[in-house]
Amino acid sequence: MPIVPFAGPSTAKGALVPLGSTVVTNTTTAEIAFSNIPALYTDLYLQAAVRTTESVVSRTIYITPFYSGLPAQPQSNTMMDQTGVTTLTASRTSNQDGQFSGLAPSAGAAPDTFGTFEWWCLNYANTTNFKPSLSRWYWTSPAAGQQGWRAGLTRANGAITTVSVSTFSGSVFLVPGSRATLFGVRTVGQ
Amino acid sequence: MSMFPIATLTPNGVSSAAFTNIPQTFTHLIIHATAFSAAASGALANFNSDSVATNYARSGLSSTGAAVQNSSAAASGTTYIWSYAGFQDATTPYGAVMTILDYSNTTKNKVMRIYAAGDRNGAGGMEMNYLLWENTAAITRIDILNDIGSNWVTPTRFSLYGVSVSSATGA
Repeated sequence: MPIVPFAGPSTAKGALVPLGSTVVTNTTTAEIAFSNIPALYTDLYLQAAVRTTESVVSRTIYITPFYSGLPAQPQSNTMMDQTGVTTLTASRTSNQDGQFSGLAPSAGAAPDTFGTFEWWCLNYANTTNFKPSLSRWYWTSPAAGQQGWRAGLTRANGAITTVSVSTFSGSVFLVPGSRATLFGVRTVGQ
Repeated sequence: MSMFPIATLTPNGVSSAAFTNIPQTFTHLIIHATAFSAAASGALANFNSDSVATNYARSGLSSTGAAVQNSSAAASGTTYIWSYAGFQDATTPYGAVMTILDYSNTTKNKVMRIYAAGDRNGAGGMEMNYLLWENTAAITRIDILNDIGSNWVTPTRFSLYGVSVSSATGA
């Protein structure tokens, strides 16, 4: 989805403001982090295409909002996933350090296949209430594929200033070519 | 395509909020919702003040994190944006992203998809709902109603966006 005002005759401003985009270029990166996010927008929207080095078919990717002073283990998820050959499964997490935002193909999956993530953090700059997030993820290959949806909650009232896309492991890395892009979502008057 | 802000509603102490006089200059609409309610509740949509019950239908897929369900329903003058209650109240938000396709077309019934969810640290609900407004009129008004008549409370926010296609490529 384009993210800047189009160059036509309209003077309207686009709602999606690109804040940052990072492509992994080495074999030792486990996290893409966007920090110093300004509290200028209504929501945050992140797109990512990632793959990990772990020797399994797929591995959890954590897309987690943070700010300095965040309480311990404030993250949780409600999850619904499908492998493409099994029925939907449902599960939850509670009191976590990171948000379980979906599964990315890994070394056991078809080569050069990346998983797609869309993630929204709503009302991220609000300072009086917990922060909800939504994620939708999927990847497919000729012999396999997975998809799912995740609801997340950050149980803290501060404005979110950092968003991390991570394997949450010191030994599992994002493969080169993995990319994450973060947008601010403007509303009228912003 | 590009996305542009049209309007934002911040209802407080009322059970409904409405986008009115929606401009017809875009191709699709997107609504972002962050909702807090005085009591556990869901949310309903009504289009153009049309209260004909047979004009609304919904099918969906949902989960509480413990089980998954599918559902379909005709509605009575409104249709659910989200139906789970209990995962949203005055302190815990429910979020939704709703896409309404071809809203200004006057020859098609209107279809829309919704991803709505709320988590409560060990409990939660999520819904993928697909709605039909069986009416070919262009959408000019959208009412978002609390399904039990409870009040939306601050910092509830409903933001409406228009999506335009490229004049150069049509994409």
